[in-house]
Amino acid sequence: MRLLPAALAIAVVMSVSMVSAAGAAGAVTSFHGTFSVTPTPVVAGHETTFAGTGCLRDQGAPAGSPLTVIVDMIVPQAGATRVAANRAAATRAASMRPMSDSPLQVTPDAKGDWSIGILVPPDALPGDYEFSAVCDRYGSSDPYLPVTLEVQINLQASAEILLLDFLGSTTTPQLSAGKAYEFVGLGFVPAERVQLAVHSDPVVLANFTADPQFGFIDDFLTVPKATADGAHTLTFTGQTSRRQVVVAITVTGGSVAPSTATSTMTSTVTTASTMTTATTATATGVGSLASTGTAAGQTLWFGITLTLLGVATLLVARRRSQRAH
Amino acid sequence: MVGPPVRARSRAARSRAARSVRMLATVLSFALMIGGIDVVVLQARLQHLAFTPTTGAPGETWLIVGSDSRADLPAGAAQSSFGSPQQVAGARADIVLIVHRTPAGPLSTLSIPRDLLVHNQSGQINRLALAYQLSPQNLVDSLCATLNVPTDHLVVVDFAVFTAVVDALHGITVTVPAPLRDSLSGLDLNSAGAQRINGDQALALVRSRHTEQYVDGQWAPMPDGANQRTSWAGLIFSATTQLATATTNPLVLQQLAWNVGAGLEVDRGTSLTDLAMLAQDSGRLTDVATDLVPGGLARAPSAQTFSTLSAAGFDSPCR
Repeated sequence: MRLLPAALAIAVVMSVSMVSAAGAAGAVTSFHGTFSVTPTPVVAGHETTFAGTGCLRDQGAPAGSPLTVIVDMIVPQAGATRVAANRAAATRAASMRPMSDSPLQVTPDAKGDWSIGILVPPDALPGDYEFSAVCDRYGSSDPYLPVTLEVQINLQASAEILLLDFLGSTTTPQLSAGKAYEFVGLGFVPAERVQLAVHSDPVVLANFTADPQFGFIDDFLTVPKATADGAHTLTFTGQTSRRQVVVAITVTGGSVAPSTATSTMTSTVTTASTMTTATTATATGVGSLASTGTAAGQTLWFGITLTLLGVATLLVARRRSQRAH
Repeated sequence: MVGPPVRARSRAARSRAARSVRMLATVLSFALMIGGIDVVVLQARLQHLAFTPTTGAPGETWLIVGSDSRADLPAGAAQSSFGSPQQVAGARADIVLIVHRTPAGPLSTLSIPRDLLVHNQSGQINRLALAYQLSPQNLVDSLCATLNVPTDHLVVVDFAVFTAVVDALHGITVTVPAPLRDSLSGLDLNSAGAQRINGDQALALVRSRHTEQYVDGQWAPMPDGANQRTSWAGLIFSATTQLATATTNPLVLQQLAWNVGAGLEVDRGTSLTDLAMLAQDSGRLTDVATDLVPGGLARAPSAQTFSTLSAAGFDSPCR
């Protein structure tokens, strides 16, 4: 009889450790299969993977009969109007690459195992997102218990900029002058002012304010129409943290380029605490960047010269007038 | 001296009148008793199912489910056309209709696709049809948690009741855009336009997932055939309720009530009178639009789904 308490104790310990292990990976056991998400928490803009086991056809069902796993995000309902808004906002966190707000579908292997990765959009709001999955056999199903994906915002000591229209692209973003592009900035100090400038002749385009809690920016930038066609760089500089991100771009549809450079500079993320710019260039043409901004220097000198000529003429006219009297 | 004979005739006349009144009263009492017994018997034929109602949008909401249970097939139906209860176990929701009466009075009837992805209060997702397979309560809870649709009353119609009701009305008239067929459901409508169909064909129409239409001299799959069944279900429902409410023949109504009672499952708060009122007032039916999930059967709620539900009065949280 002494063995009984010991057995019970072992059982309790095993139960606790199994629950802990499941919790650590965000896994929950349902029917005879498991559903998990790894990693969680995940930083917005990075990938996470949903995986499961136990999704098999019914006994006696033909090999080709329908079998699929659907993974979807649970949107807490709070009034029909808000449901639609919540779903639209929340599905940004569940989007597949390329971004889509549909539930995910995947076919399990012969053992009933399956997995599917997603990119958590960089502009996903931080917080807990509940996901569920179901093993769907057309005429019957086994729903899994939901798991929670925790999304965090990049609070590390470096900043990133993502141009949302060019996510996943390996070539230099090509921006049309005068057109607005949505971007997301991560890793700035909460509430700091972030200055955007375009180079090579620095021209400040705009100032943004980072989110007061998480330090991200979700806004639009527009390259001025006066910008010359060709390669340029955008710099985003945190005015408090001095964190800086340099993004190489190619501008089209602006003014005529002064040179024929065909630079294809890749982008860039840099640490900013040291203010070192880690831009990687793979220029295939003349390495100089196209000049940007207006020809203000020449205009200024021309104006000064004219003014001086005007003053000189005025003085000469006065002297002649005095001599005449 | 005419007094005595006149009085005698008068007494006889009063006696006849009294007899007539007594006879009429007896007949009326008998008819009322028969009617009462009939109502009691018809009411007793209804099968009851237990569920916990959910609360939300003000008004009264009925959930009408067309079950695909193979346990009770239409009379004379070949088992091979449907599959046996062993081959096709359990019951799924083939048709899901919502009838909602707002406090202001107007009724709206919504047809929801059976493949719509919903989640219950525990966060488990499923297609609507399969949510019912787990339990009627799971379907009720999922509609509440996902779409803010509460359920006050639940009505479950199986294949046999469905066909019996249509046949009791001597068929219903539906209008189809082209000749239709589906070898899997047994659908076979040879002509386009308005036509009268019997219970079997009505059932085949609402069950059709692989509908083909005859256009330009050849058979071609109907676009979005799987979702088309939601519209067919609404069409059949509207035709049936319109015909049932327009029928004045007491024998037809009696047969209708008898057939309905045979296999209809309702919650304990629902009576035959409620069902008659439901048929009377159900009004125009609206298909609830949803988005097809690429690469599969499932459909997802869209902004349009919620705007339709909101317009029908479902704009309060459901619990």
